[in-house]
Amino acid sequence: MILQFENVSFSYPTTLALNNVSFEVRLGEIVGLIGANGAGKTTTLLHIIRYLHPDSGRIRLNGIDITKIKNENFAVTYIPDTPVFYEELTALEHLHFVKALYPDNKVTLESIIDRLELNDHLDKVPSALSRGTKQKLMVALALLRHYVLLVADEPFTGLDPGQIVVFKQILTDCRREQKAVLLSTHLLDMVEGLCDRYVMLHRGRIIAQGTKQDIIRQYDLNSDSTLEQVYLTLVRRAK
Amino acid sequence: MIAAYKAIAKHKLRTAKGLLKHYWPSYLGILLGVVFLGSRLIAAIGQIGLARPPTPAYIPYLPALLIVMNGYRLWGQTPVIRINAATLHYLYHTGHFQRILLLKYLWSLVKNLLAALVSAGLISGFRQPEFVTYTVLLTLYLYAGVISAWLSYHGKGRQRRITLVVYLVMSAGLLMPNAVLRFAGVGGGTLAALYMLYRLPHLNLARYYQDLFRLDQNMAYVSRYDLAQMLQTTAEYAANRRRRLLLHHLPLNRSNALFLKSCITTVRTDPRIWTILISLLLFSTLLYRTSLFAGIPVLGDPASATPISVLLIMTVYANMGELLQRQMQTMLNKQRLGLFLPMEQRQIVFAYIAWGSLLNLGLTISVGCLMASNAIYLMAFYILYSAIYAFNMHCVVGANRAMRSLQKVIRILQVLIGFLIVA
Repeated sequence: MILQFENVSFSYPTTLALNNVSFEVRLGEIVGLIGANGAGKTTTLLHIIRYLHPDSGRIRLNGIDITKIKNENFAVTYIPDTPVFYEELTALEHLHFVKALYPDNKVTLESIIDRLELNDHLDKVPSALSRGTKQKLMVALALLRHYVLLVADEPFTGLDPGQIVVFKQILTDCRREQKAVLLSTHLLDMVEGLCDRYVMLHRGRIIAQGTKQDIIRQYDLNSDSTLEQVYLTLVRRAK
Repeated sequence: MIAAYKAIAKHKLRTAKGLLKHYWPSYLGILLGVVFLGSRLIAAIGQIGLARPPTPAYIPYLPALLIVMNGYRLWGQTPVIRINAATLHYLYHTGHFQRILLLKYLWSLVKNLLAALVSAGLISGFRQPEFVTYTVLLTLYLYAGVISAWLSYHGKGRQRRITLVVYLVMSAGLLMPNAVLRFAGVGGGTLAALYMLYRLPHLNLARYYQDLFRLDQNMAYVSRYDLAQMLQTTAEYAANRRRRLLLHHLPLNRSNALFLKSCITTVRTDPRIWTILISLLLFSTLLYRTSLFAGIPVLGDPASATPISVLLIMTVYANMGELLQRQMQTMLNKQRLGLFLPMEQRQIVFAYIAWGSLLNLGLTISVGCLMASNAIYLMAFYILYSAIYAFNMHCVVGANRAMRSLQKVIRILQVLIGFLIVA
C-alpha cells in the first residue's frame, strides 16, 4: 500500500469539497480519479501533495501520516492541470534546473528529451511553446523528480493523439517499475483500459470504486457498459 | 544544487532586464524622486544636527500613513511574502523550500527596517535617543503587520479575527502619547503575531499557489510589455474574485434596491482606483500643509502649491462623480435595451444622486480634516458641490448639445468652488 486516504473531509469557506473520502493506491497500479468538473478531484490531489490539509481524516504515504514526512523524503511527483514554469527560462534550462534538484534520479536528460520529442523546443521559453509541448515539458520535469507516486491532474489536456500514446506508455512503464500512479480526469474514454482501478467522485463523495468489472457487478449494471455509461448511471443514482 | 539557485537568479535577472527595457523612463523618474527625497533628508539632518528636535507639520501623518499601510496589507489579501509559483511547485518537496521562505522572511524584515529608519528619522529628526527608540518601535510595528497579513492570508475565520485584533491593538499602541504605552501596544501585538506564526499549523498553499501563479503571469506580461494580456488577466481575476458582501445581504426593498446596488458597485470598484484617489488626497495635503516640497520649482512655491492642491482634490471629486455617472449610464442603457426596472428614469437618477451626495459628504469631511478647513466654508462647498453634482447627473441623462456645453461650464464651476476648501 502506498497511499491511503482515510475518511478525509474538507471544506472551502462556502463549499463542502470532500465528504468522508476514503480510497487507496497500491504500488504497481494506475488508479483513475474520475468525476465531473467540481467533483473534488483537484482538491483530492492537492491534499496528496500537501497544498491542502484535511479538516478531518488522515492521509498516509507508505503507512506514515504525510504531515510527518520531511519535505526531502516526500516521494510524490505532481503534474498540475495548468503547466507552471519560470517564464524567462528555456525548456532546456528548466530540465537542467530540476535535474540539479534531484541528481540521484537515474533518468537522464537525453533519454527524457528523446522520449517526449522535446529536441526542437529546447531553446524556447514557455510562452513560445504550444499547449501540448508545455504539457510534455511538465511531464518530463515530473519524471526527473524522485518519486514512488505520480499524481497527475487532467494530464491529457492539450496533448495530440501521438503524445497521448507516449504519455500512456510512460504511465504503464511506471506500473512496470512498481511505482504508483493516480491520475484525475473527466475524459473517461481516455483512461478506460489504462487504469487498473477507478475512484468515482461526485460532489465531494465517492460513489463507487474498484475495477470496472467490480463496479459493474457491485451496482448491478449492464456488463457491456462503457466506463462513461457506468459513471453516468451511478451519478444519476446518486442524485 | 547551486545550478538550481543560479537558474532562479537567471530568471529574476531576465525579468528585471525586460522591465528595465520597457519601463526605463518610469524607473528613472522613481530614481530621481528617491535622490531628491534623499538629498532633502540629508539636508534636513545637516541643518537640524542630532540635538535639536524639529517639529514639522507632517509628523502626525507619518504614523497614520504606517497604520494605513499595515491595514492595506491585512485587508489586501494578497501574499505579503512572495516567491515564484514555479519555485513553490518545484522546490516545495525539497529541503530548499523552507530555506527560501526563511530568506524571504528576513528580506521582508530588512525592507521594513529600512522603511522604519526613514520614518523614525522624519519623526525624531534623527535626534537620539528618540531616533533609535522610534526605529525599534516602527520596525516592530511594520514587521508585525507583515506577519499578521501573512497569517490572515493563510488562516481561516478565527485566526483572521485574531490578526485583526492584533492589528487594532498595535495601531492603537502606536498612537499613544506615552512611550511605555506605545511599546506595550506594539510589542504586545508583535509577540502575539510571532506566537501565532509559530503555532501556524499549515500554510494555505493551494491559495498561495493560485495567487503566485497569477502574479507571475502578470509579471511576465509586464516584462514583455504585453498590455493586452495584462489587462485580460486583471479583468479575469477581478471577475472571479470572491465577493463577501452580496446585494441580498442588505435589507432590500423596491424603493432602496437601486440605491443599494450603486453602493455595492462602488464598494467593488477596483482597489487600485481607491489607492490612486487616496494617494492624490494625501499628496495634495502634504503639498498644502507642509514644507516637504520646499525648494522644488512650482510645487515648493506656496502661491502655486495651493491651486495645485485644490486641483488635485477636485480631481478626486471629479473621479468619484465619473464612477457614479458611468454606473448610472450603464443602468439607463440596460433599461433602454430592455431590462425591466419597475421605476422611472428620474427615480434611477435620484438613487445615484442620493448615493453620490452621501459619498461626497464622507469625502468632504475627510478632506476638511486633512486640510484643516474652515467649517462654514466647507459646508458651503458641500452644498454648492452637491447641487452642481445633481444638476450634472441630470445633464448626463438629457445629453443634447446644449447640455454638453453646460457640462463644460459645470466642470469649471466645480474647480472654482474647490477653493472654498482652502479659504
